[in-house]
Amino acid sequence: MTQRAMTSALSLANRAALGIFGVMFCIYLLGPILAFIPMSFNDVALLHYPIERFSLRWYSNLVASSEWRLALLNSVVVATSATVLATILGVCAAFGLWRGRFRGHSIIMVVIMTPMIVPSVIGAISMYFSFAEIGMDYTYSALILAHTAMAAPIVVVTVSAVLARFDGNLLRAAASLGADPLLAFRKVTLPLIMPGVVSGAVFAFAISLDDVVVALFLAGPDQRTLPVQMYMRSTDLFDLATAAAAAMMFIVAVAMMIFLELLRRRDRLAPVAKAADSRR
Amino acid sequence: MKPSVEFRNISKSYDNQTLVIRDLNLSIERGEFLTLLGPSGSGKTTALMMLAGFEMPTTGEIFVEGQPYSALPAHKRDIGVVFQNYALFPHMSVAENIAFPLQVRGHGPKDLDRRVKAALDMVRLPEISARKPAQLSGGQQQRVALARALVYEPKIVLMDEPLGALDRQLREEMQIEIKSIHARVGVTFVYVTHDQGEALTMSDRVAIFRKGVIEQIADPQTLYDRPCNAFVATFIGDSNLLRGTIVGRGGGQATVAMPGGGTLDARAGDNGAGKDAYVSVRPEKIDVSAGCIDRGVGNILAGTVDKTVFFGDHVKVSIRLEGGQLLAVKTGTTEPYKNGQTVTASWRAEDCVAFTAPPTRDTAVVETTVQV
Ligand SMILES: Nc1ncnc2c1ncn2[C@@H]1O[C@H](COP(=O)(O)OP(=O)(O)OP(=O)(O)O)[C@@H](O)[C@H]1O
Ligand SMILES: [Mg+2]
Repeated sequence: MTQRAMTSALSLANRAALGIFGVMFCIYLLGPILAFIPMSFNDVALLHYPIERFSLRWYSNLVASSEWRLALLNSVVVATSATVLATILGVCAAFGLWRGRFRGHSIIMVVIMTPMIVPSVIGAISMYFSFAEIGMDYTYSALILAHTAMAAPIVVVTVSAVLARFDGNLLRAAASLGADPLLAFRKVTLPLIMPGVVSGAVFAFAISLDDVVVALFLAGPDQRTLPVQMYMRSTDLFDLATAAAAAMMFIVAVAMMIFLELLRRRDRLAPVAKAADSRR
Repeated sequence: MKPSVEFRNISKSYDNQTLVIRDLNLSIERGEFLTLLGPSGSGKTTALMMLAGFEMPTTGEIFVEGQPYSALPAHKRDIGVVFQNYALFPHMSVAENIAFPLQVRGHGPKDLDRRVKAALDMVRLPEISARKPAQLSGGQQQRVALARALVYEPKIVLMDEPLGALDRQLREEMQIEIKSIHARVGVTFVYVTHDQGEALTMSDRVAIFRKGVIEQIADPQTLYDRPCNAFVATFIGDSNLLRGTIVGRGGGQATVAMPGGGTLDARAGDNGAGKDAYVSVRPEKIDVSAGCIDRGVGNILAGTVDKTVFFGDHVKVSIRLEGGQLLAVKTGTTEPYKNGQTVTASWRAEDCVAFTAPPTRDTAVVETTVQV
């Protein structure tokens, strides 16, 4: 064997090993989910394979059950409201931090990031007691406000990332042309940072949808969200409607990931760069 | 008539310690093309930014047509600005960029179209209105920025090194273009540049900045012929700066003794009482001839040819004077000089100025500022 053939054979072996490792890692990551979800199509209320008869009865149960319908509605309402609030707050905070070169800038950044780092059970307990103290426990408002606080930091992160590439001279230009700061923000800044705003909003939605811990503490039976409902049903009388709900949430999550990836690609093709960059 | 712009006792500090503009007084006439010229960091951009409303003066007041402007926010000033990187809105088409100031002012769609079209015609770019800035060349972006700054007929247009990013040929074309637009629209232009050639060819007046202070403000001809100090003399155009000692004064004239022997008659450039003299003389004002001929025309210095460089339409000869200083001469003659040959340099007394202060206050004076 020649030297070159040997190296290529080696690299072939390497590549095969890498491929096998990659596949196994993916199975490790996704295996449980991919094993669980198909059971939602099993006609029998048993968690085992093979699937005896294919059926959509758990899905129709899901839709028929007022309890599940309420949970779904709660999740949509809470996640949407929290996303809107978190996005507005996050964009304002990111823009303010970008504008102001004041002292304590980095301290504020750390404070804003804390909710992302603190274990959620700590946040949940503290919020539970705080809201209870002011008589707001077991309300939609409390749950929405809590999710807003949890989701706003990620919006600050994604918006700050696009603002880092935003040319501040554009705002001076807008001002010189007669636009007041609000108009300049709406017409110039916002369109240019939109990719960051949208991806922040998607992440915010995902954070709200993902939460069980805080909702367990703050939600009464009327505010029970989809994940809480799934958790409750898995621990008491288990039926495969939970698997059906899981399947639906999984699809939503995958759709959001695909959306973010498409957004990222579009952003790369039409970057929020300064017009000047194309000149250099 | 009130001046278009007036800076009155303006000082500016960014850090409350060092002043980057020091007690600036400046009056700009309506319709004037004024250029701020000076070395890097001399405060040109700062002066412009204060006029545009992006920076606040630390002390003093800026008046525009007699109104105090310092407290007025930028978007209420009605002053057009062309930025060095153009600052075109990348998400808007060329037409939308130019329409922006009109929309802000609430113009109707018909009026908008007409004015955008007229502005594009003015900068000779009627076909590209649908394109995005990223699809334009540097020169085209420059024109669009100019059209956008002019379309709403502001009182004043400010430009901060607008041609800095263009190659030389395009820069010269744009200089002519900007100048002709200025002549047509007749608004006040305040222009910042590093490039003294640009300043001389385009401006009605040029203000020479150094370290936050205007050294001289005058029309290009005066600036070139009658610089008020050695800094301006060497900053504008090429100039020799010969060191000597003042031995006589009177009637606006000074007599300077050269270290290598001989004396020069010169205009007195300032009222300094010092003995040190810095005599400024332009290379193209000097005649050079072979040998040691006294032609009786004012100043005569003898020396030897150090170097000759041929430029096509002229020749630059570097002469080592007696006493060691170098003198650059620009001559049209094709007479060949050999290195080491003895020559005589002569010029009229009114073509040279004697200053008592060196061009830079804090560094040693350079022997000659012209490199051959
Ligand atoms: N935003 C700022 N904050 C602090 N210092 C500044 C700021 N802008 C300018 N300076 C300082 O002020 C001085 C004058 O700067 P300015 O930008 O006005 O100079 P300039 O004449 O425009 O120079 P250049 O030809 O390099 O553009 C410089 O020393 C600069 O470092
Ligand atoms: Mg500058």
